[in-house]
Amino acid sequence: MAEGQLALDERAVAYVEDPLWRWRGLIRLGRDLLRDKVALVGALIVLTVVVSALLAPVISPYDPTSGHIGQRLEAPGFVNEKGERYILGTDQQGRDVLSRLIYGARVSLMVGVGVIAIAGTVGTAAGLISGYYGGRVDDLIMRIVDTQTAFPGLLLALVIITMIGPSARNIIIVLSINGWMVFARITRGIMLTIREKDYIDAARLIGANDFRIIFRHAFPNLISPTLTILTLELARIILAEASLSFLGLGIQPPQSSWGLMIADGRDYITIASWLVTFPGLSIALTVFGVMTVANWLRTVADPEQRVKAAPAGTGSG
Amino acid sequence: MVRISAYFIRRLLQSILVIVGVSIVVFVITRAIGDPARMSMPLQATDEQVEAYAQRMGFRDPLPVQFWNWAKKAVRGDFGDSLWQREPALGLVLERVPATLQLCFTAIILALGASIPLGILAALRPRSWLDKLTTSISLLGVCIPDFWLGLMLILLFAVSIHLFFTSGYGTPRHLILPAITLAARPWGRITQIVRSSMMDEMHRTYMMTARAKGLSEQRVLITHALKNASIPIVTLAAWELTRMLAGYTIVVETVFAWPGFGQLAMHAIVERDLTLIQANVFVVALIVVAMNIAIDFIYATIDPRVRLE
Repeated sequence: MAEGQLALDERAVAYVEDPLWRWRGLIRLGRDLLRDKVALVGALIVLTVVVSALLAPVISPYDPTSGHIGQRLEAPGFVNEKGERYILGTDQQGRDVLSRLIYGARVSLMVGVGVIAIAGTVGTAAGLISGYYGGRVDDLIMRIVDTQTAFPGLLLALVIITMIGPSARNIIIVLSINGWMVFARITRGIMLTIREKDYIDAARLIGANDFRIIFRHAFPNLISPTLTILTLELARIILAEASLSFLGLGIQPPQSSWGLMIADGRDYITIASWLVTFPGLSIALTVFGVMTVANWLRTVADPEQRVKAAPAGTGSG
Repeated sequence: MVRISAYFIRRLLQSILVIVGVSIVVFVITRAIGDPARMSMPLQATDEQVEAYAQRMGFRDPLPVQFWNWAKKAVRGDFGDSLWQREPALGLVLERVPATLQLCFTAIILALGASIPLGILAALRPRSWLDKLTTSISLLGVCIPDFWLGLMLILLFAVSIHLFFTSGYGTPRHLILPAITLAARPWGRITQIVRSSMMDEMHRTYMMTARAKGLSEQRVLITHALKNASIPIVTLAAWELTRMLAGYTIVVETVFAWPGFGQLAMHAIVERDLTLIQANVFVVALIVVAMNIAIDFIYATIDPRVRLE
């Protein structure tokens, strides 16, 4: 018995002494990703978009907001007399489409990350409180969630944007107001089951306060399901921002956004279809990438899902 | 029967809560953020003119007083005249309801019609090329932004081969492109759910029993597996339909100039027509609430385990 214990301790020590032990989980995730081809493609797309967004000023060939009116609506591959190449052509103001796409990635990600940061924090906090305390607090929060879920979300978002004025910041506010309920529901559901677990009772017995129990003991269980929802929500929000900008109630010119580019290019669709094609492809590919990653995260977190592995967008709204 | 009516009353109260909530939110947004008088007057109007208008419309009263005055009329269906069209706002919205309903129901029927057979075929042969193709294109349906899909369809079918009309209303040739555009996302999601819930049912023991009884394969699939798989499918379809009606037609109606209430809402927003916006949101909230109650009843009808309590 004692010997067995010793062997176990030695193995534990060996494990901890391995310089890579902290990264083992990540390494396993990486291997898993390499095996899943579709998820790998998705992850590469997401990586490309993220890098473009971060390095936009470095990698974009031209200024996205100024162009030469003399070279408007030139087809992809156009080279002007100075020898400057426009790989994806120019728009109705002679601006480089590729540079505008790269800066558009920035807007999409900024809005997406901003919204999931705000909505995710507020929603998760509400869900934690609701699920942990139960009773009247739970009733109140869930009543608000139910009522707001029955609201016509997009329509209200449009109305609010009209009143407070369209801008990247206001889009983030409006979409956050619209999106916190998913997080509250999921978190509450998990919290309700965790609350009954023995280790929570144990924590309470040794005198841990509510704050400590919620954040040290319950919260770690939420990370994996919340991560999946966060990614799915990111995909939904990228689409929502594109729709708002397309309707003229999102990002305003001369700033660049994929939805805005499609709205601007719409009038030229028969003579310069690349103005509409490329931004649309960018949105579709990005959303595809994000959803595949979300899906992969779900199969990693729940191996039972692996058998079915249906790429499903379960994000609401 | 008693249980159903108790359920119905509770549900009705909840619906009233939603409608009152939506009304208050819209009212507060349109009256408290920015100056409604300044917004609905022409840009060149002087401060005195704006002030006189605001006094006449009651925009300077305390907000609760304003809401009470507004609500008293609203419960009788009087939302005031549209500032832009100079006609009763509610009438303008109701006029547009049939066009949107026609578009949404066509889209959901298209989506169901195309997704159920494809989802079943994919579930029958997991990991076959047909399954992989189905999974990929259903994912595409979810990823492609609807306004872009609409523009691409216009480019292909209306501009290049002159098969359908790009805008307008009245004939099936007008309806088909906007309906397909609107159907893409629900089609993708329903296909996925048909596939996965059919796969769940396929391995249940009752399927073996049905086959052992000597039922034809077709009968086993349709009357046994599909019937049991139908609950998540119907739920998702109803949910997608509600989502469309709750304002997601705005984009598609704008792209195809479809004269529904989505297009009207967009006009009202662009024209800053506050009364029209209020009436529009109210009607949409009413439709959404009605849909939610309808979903509950459908649910109770197809799943005998569900009791409305």
